Amino acid sequence: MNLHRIAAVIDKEIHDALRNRYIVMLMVLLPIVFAAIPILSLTSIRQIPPSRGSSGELPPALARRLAGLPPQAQLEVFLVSQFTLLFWIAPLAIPMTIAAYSVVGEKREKALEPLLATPVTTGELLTGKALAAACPGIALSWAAYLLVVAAAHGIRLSPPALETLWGPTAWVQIFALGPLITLLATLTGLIVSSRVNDPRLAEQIGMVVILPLLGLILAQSFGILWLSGALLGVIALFLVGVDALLAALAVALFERETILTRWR
Amino acid sequence: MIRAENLTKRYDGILALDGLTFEVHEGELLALLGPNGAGKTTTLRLLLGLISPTSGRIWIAGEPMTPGSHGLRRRIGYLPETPGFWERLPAWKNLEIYARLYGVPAPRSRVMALLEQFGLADRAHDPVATFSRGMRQRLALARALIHDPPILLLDEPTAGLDPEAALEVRERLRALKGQGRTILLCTHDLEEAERLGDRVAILRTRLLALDTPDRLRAQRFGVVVAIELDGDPEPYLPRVQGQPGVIQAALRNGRLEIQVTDLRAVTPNLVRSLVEAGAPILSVTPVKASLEELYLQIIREGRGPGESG
Repeated sequence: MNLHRIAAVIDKEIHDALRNRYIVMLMVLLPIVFAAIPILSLTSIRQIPPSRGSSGELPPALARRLAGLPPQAQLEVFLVSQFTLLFWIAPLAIPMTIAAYSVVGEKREKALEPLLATPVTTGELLTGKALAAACPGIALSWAAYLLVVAAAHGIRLSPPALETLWGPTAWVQIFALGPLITLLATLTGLIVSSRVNDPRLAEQIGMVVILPLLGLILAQSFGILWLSGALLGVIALFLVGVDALLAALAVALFERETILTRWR
Repeated sequence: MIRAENLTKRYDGILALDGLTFEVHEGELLALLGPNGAGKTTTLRLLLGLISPTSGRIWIAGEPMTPGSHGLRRRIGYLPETPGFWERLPAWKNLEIYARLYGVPAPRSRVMALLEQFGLADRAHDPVATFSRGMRQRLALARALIHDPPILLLDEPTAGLDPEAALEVRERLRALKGQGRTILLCTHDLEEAERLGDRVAILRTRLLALDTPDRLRAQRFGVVVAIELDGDPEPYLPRVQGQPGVIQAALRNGRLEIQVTDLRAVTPNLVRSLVEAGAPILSVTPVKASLEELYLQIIREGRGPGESG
């Protein structure tokens, strides 16, 4: 792997993405939306008089886990834990869009043939494309997360809720699982993008990755499961394996000859 | 510099290239001619290692070329049939990315120098989407040269250009040839092939002909000299037919057309003989069949049974 060539591919992808109005709009709006939802929700529950806050509205399994906390704190912890999961999804939209257009878009512009005629290897090309697609989304989701953390301190969230938002478990979710899931979505988008000739189709197929995540969010909402530190560790390890497998698969499935000769 | 040996390529069982063997020598410009679907683009893609041959082998500068020979691509500049730029990016950025992919030192200054050289410096910061076809072709040529390669593979560089733009590209190709680069030029423009090419190759799935245009003409049509007289040439026909070195002679378009074994050796004696016989000679000109006539004849002969067009 030649790092200079990977950097050149990243540079191209970022410059190209920044000239795509749709992607720029996503880059501006998504962090705002993903920061605003938790901030507004947490601010609004701070307005509820303590007497009206009730743990009876939480799923029973969750209420048991949070037993011992004041009802207001229980609600805050519950909401914060749900919002932390939101940051798994937050970085996905931008990388999926960039990745989905990545190969198909170049093929449509007929820009892939001269690019493949350079010394760049498939591994370098896909690494550059994957990093360029994944990094902006991850960076923006981290920025949104830090905004939420700052706002949470500003509105004086209860200490247990603050610990849930800014503690080792949350860090694993935001700084490890978020990027791993983003990479998974990006690689899926790239694989699909190199096999189909419609970027929208690539994006739609790639978005299937979100479904298991929504399942996890719903499972935690209903108290079916609680994402403890140990469980998150297992998920992270699983994702490392899946990402490595997908990366190898992406290189194997990127058939230069098929892409050049069969796509019209 | 470029050597292809028995190259065959099939796409899903369909034969695109059949046993192609040829060489392009260092500093030579070989024009590759052939109708659409003859296998010209397939040949270039094979030479670049973009696709693998079904059978056969390729050497670039003495090294075998395969789809895994990424480093060997540094020796080659490629201009595909459709230039293919990142349309939203400015011209300089398009070139700069390529410069970095090829590992060009000081890429920015190399890019600016090339844009200047190709008359695009004032549009360097404009998106390629705003460029005319001629400007794109110049930019594509600049991109092919970004790493100063000794070998150029050019796929129809003047196709679709207006005469002025095509002339400009041809001038640049002539200059590149003058720099000693080895060039394989695919073209439909026979005049371009004749003007620029040291040799021409005529391809129709298989190689039908490969030589200099003059030698191909001599092989196909022989060497012909036309002698125009002031008056009826018919009485002089028997005298000409009897001359040494004359293969055949005929009256055509009111003049004597004589096929000879060697233009330089036979023509002076022919003229002397006619003058001695009192023939009023107005002009003596070697007859050259156009490359178009030659091309069409070779292509028609190379067509398989039942093929048309």
